[in-house]
Amino acid sequence: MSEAGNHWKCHSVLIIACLVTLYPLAWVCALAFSGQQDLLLADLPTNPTIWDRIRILVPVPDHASLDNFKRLFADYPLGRWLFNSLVVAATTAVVGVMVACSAAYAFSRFKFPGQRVGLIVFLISQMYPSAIMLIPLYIIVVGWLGLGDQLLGLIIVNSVTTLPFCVWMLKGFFDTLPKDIEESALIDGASQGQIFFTIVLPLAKPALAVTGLFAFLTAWNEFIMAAVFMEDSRSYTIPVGLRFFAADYTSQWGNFAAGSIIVSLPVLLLFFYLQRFLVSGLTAGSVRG
Amino acid sequence: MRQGANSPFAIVRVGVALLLALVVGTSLLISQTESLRRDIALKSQIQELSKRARAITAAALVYDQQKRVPSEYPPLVQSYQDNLPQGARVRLIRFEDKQLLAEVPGKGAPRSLQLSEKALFDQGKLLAAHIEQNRQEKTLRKPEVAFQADDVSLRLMMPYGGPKPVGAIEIHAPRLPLVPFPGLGIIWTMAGGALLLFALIGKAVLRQQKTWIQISVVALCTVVCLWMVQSQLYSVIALQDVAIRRSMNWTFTKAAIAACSVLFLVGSGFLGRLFSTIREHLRAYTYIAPAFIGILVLTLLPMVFGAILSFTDTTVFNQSVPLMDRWVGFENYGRILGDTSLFVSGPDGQSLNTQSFYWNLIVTILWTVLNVSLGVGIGLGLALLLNTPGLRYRAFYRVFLILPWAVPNYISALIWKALFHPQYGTINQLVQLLGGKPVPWFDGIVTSFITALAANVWLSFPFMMLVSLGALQSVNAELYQAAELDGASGWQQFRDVTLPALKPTLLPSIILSVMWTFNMFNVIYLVSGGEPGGANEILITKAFKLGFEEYKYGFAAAYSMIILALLMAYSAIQLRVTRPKGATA
Repeated sequence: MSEAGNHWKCHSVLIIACLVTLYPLAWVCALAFSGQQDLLLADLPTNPTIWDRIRILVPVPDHASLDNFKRLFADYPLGRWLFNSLVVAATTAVVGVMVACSAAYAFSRFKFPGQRVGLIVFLISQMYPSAIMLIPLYIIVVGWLGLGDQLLGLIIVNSVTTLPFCVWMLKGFFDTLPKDIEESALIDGASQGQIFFTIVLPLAKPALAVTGLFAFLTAWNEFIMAAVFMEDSRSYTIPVGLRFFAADYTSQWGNFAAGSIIVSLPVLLLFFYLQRFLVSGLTAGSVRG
Repeated sequence: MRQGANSPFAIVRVGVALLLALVVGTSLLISQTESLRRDIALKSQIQELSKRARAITAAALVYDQQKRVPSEYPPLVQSYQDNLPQGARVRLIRFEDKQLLAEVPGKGAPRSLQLSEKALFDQGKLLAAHIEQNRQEKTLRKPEVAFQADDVSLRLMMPYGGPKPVGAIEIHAPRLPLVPFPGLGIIWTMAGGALLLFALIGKAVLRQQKTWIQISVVALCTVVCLWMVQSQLYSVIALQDVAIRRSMNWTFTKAAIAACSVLFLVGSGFLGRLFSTIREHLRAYTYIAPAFIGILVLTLLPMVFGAILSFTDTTVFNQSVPLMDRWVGFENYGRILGDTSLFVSGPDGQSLNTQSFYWNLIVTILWTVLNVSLGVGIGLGLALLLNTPGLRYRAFYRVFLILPWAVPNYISALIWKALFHPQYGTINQLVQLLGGKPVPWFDGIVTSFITALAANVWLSFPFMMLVSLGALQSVNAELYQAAELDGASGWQQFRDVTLPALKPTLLPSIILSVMWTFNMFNVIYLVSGGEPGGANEILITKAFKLGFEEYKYGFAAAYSMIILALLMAYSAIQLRVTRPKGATA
């Protein structure tokens, strides 16, 4: 490695990499603002010249227009889908974090038989996809509990799915909280419940918020269970709805692109705020032997 | 605190356990047999009643063809008298002109149906529609006879007039009395049997030192006692019927298993210890209870239920059939794992057997290995570049390069599907610009595989890059200086300094990403869809399609159990490689 200030080789590789990562996204943006449904961003004459062909590749729409966005709300229940997703994701986050934080606290503070096994169960089930048990889960939730086409079913399933991750995140946080405060409160005669609610929870607010946002993101992006549980198009969540636009037989790519942008923007913002927690959270169980 | 096997406490415990086990087993046996008996009685009465109904409707059909007034048609009246059970009521309707042909008891017939009898007419019509539907499908999927029963009466309704019913008959009949249950006899048998057995083996049991031997012997006795009760119960049930005999045996197995579990749980002191442990650590368990219940109901229960399903031939159509009749043993597993042929002969000669489990397994392994190695290679390479000392615009690059990870993966997958569109996709436009012919991406096994691979590498390398970057920044710079002083080349530095320093962070991340990729449902399902013809399905999407597109729930459950076994084997290895921090406490 040279010590010189211009790393032109480095820069050229990085720029190419950035182009590759950015191109698909730029292309979606172009399609979203083009007002059309076709995949080609410009008309291709029957005998295209090289310039025509290059023009097709440039992710800029022929005419800028907001038609795709307007159509989504006017002709399709996108508002309804957004609402469904929002309800599912928000409730999942709240329920998941509430349940996870009490469990995580117990795992972090108490010693009890089954602690180690419990932690390992959580660690392992974090890695199994819910898709693998989808058939029994479908029969239980839709057949037995009768929660098909209902947001409640999705909320329950999502909360449990995000549970292991939340428990590990929060346990990691509780482990870093010094025990001194709780011990002195105990000496002062506070009950365990009081300590948990008045001392630990306020201290854990930032960690709870971060964990909750992760649970929110997971539920917001969840596709397969929503696709299986929701049959009526009124109860679709956003991912199922977007997939509907991109299905082979309809292929409303413009609508899909516009919808993707509406859905992804909040996710992107949230993600960049959260990503530094994410890496440490995902590898929390295993890093540092 | 453990009690010796011979202490009075342990003997009392075993005694209590035995008593509990016998009570549980016997009451299960009796209640199950009782409901079975009621079932059989009901079925036979329904059979009897429908036989009579058929006789009546046969006469009605003749009447219908000759259009006579019922009271003027002696055979019909005669057939009521012959066929109606004591105290029964009958109503006979004809669909054509909504006529009530006959009503017994009652004098008004024939007359038009009244509004209050509309439900009767509708139900008859529905059953008639079922008959026609079943005939078209050549199945018996829809019920052709309706009946409602309670303890005192039975109502049966069936259409008549062949495959295109012309009317329906409804019969209300009082229930036949059941044979009295041999209640006391059972108790005596049980008590006598238990006494006898313990007289014979009691001493031997008490001399045993090990609790589990004691309990096993006692369990054996319990089963024998239950068997004696069972043989008493046989006397009230017609055993000639194979189906009934099978369900009686199944009942006995269930009762025996339940009794033995009670015996072992209580007798070994497990239940007692469990209770005292829970009481001792009540606070911790209360904090954990909600999470535990959630995991139990929606993770462990589906797992157990899935395991049970995997031994049945459940489909979407036969879900209501009793479990025992759907039971097929290891047949699903045999069919999945037994399909080892590499080629199949189709209409156009030999071709690769792309439907077999092993093919999908190979595809999945290839998919995982290629994705993870490309992801790690690209991620680590870019991280090394980004880590170049004195590099400008690093923050910009970093943000742009993380973007694919931030976009929801189903959206990325669908974007890539569009980019690979054979006709209008940008990638084929690029190919044409470079002078090539458009590639029919989803028609070939390799090209279709490449589409999903490209999409997945694109969306997964940022994770590896971030992980590597974080680890690189913590490498001690002095190590490099030392290496440089020793005259190590760039490659040597990478191999001997960078890689060992990265290993503790990189290894868990690779393990994690192997797991993710192995199960990357969204990308395969949404980008290539497993095309062509399911040849690019990875295991998890294949299981999904078996379940939700072919509706073979049992078969798909077996498929999922095999995947689960593979994943568990992988986790076991992984737990060995990296001990989870905190879980070792």
